[in-house]
Amino acid sequence: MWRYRVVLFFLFTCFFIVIARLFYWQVVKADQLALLGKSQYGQEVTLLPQRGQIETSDGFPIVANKLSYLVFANPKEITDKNREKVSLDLSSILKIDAATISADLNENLLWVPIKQNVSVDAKTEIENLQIPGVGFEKQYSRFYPEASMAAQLVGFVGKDISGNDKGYFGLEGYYNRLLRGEPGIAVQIHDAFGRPILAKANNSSQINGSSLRLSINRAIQFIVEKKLKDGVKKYGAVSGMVGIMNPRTGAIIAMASYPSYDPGSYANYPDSLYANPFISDLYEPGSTFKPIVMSGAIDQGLITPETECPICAGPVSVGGYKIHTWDNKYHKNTTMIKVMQHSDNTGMVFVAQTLGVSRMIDTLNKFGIGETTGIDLQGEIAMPLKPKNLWYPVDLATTGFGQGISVTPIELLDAISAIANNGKRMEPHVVSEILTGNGNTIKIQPKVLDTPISKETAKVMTEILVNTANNGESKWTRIKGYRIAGKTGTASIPIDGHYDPTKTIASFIGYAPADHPKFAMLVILNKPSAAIYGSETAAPLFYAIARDLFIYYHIGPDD
Amino acid sequence: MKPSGIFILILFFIIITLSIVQVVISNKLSTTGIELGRIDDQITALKNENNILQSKLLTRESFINIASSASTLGFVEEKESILLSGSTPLALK
Repeated sequence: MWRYRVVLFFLFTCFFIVIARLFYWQVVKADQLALLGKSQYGQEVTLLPQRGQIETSDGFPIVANKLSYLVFANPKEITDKNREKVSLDLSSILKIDAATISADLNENLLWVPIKQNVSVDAKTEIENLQIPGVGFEKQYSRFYPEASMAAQLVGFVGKDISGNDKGYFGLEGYYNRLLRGEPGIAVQIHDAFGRPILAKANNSSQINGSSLRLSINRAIQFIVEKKLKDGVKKYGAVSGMVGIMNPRTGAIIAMASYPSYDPGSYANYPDSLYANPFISDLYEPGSTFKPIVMSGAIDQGLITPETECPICAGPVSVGGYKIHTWDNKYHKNTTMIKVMQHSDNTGMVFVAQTLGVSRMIDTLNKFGIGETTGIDLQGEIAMPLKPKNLWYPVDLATTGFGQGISVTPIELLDAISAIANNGKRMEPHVVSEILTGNGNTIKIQPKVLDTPISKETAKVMTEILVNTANNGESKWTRIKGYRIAGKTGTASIPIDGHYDPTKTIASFIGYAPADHPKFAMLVILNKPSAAIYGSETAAPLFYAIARDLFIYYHIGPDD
Repeated sequence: MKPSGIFILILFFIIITLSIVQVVISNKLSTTGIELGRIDDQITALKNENNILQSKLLTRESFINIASSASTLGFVEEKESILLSGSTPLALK
């Protein structure tokens, strides 16, 4: 009997030892064993997604991806005898200083990067040299077929703190998350000799980046950039910008700034060029602001186009300041139509004072002045309006003619476009469609932000602006046969508490054809030296571009 | 033999047959990895070539390239357009 119990005890002990051991390996050491098993039979590979393209309205990618390589070296495989020759060979192909390469190859490391974004041709040349210890890693780098077209609109791709691609400025920055996609993981199973086995790779959710289809018209953008560059040089300006928008939908047709930069080699340019000045620069708009103030006063029934100005016989004193007209010519009892035509500052002081501070602030708010437009670009700013209790009489007066108030060009263009669009202010946008990585298309719908004036007021204001373009200071440069609504601007630049007497920001804003506008455009020249007035610099440039737009859109003359 | 015995025998033969089939197929598949690797390499090479060709095509199609080529070929930029207007000659009587 006791023998039976001993044997039974022995069997139970063995059984429990086995159970305990199984528990140890299958529970306590489970993760470690799984890892070991994975490394023996399979190799995990990270599948990097391709960044989405950026296409103009005709489907042409102005930002695409091209194949390139990272050249790396294993310094331990390069002997001291070969190091100098290897450095010289790589230096001549990669255009890097040989001493820099030699220093990298001296590192006591297994892997050192030599250069990124190396072209396929350069890679082939290096491969043909058959240098031991030099290898290549496939990459995709951004490629710009139209070179620097719309550079400040598009932005560029740099690296984040972890060394991953990240978009900065413009569309690359605003839509970075959509453009970059999601990486995936695949497991390649192989045999004992390392050869792949036909087995299903676990492709965990790798999604290529979404592509963006813009409302930007490539042909118009090309024309605008060329004309802008020529205009800046012709008028001796420091810089210039042009923005063209479809007032009916808010779609941006073209947006150009000069000088610009090459997003493919952004590091070679000063970072002051990266930001898009059309959305990031504040300026005092001057006379191009007058239509906004006047249309607000007309819409609220405070004035009519025939209202006569009682204070326009001479300079106007406000709060200890004397306000003059730009040409020191004064027109007694002038009408509002003539005030706009002559760009009469004293007449606009009258309009502003008739509005009063509360109604002025209300008008500006409805036109979106003092807040961002919501355009889908990274870097937009706005200068909020002062609170009502901080407005002095001189602030009200100067706001009437666009001084003492700061706006971005896109704010102004969007506001004037409301007059062109029967009183409705649209949200500007650059992207019209998003093409997702899994094949879906998301259309961006136009959005009405506000209705600052009625349809009737918009029509009245349009006629005033057509008369201004036809009979105002820029009449000599207008395109005959076309009804174009427009206004010149010659704004003084504030420096250290006063205005620079010799330098201006010359501008022209307008839309055409006046009755059914196809486009609204703002042209700005910063500190032109050939002439300081908008009528002599920005206006001719506006009409030069408008002429090409009429041809492109097959818009015939009105008469 | 009892029916249950025949049933068990049939099941036994099915199991053996399926096991042999699995061994044969696994054996065949185990060496197709070489072919898989070759096809993978081919796909990668073709994708790379596609990308290179697309880049070249886009460069050729760009306005910058077309404008430059046009200039080289002697095309001149149009300076201004001429508007033809005036009343249409029409015999009223």
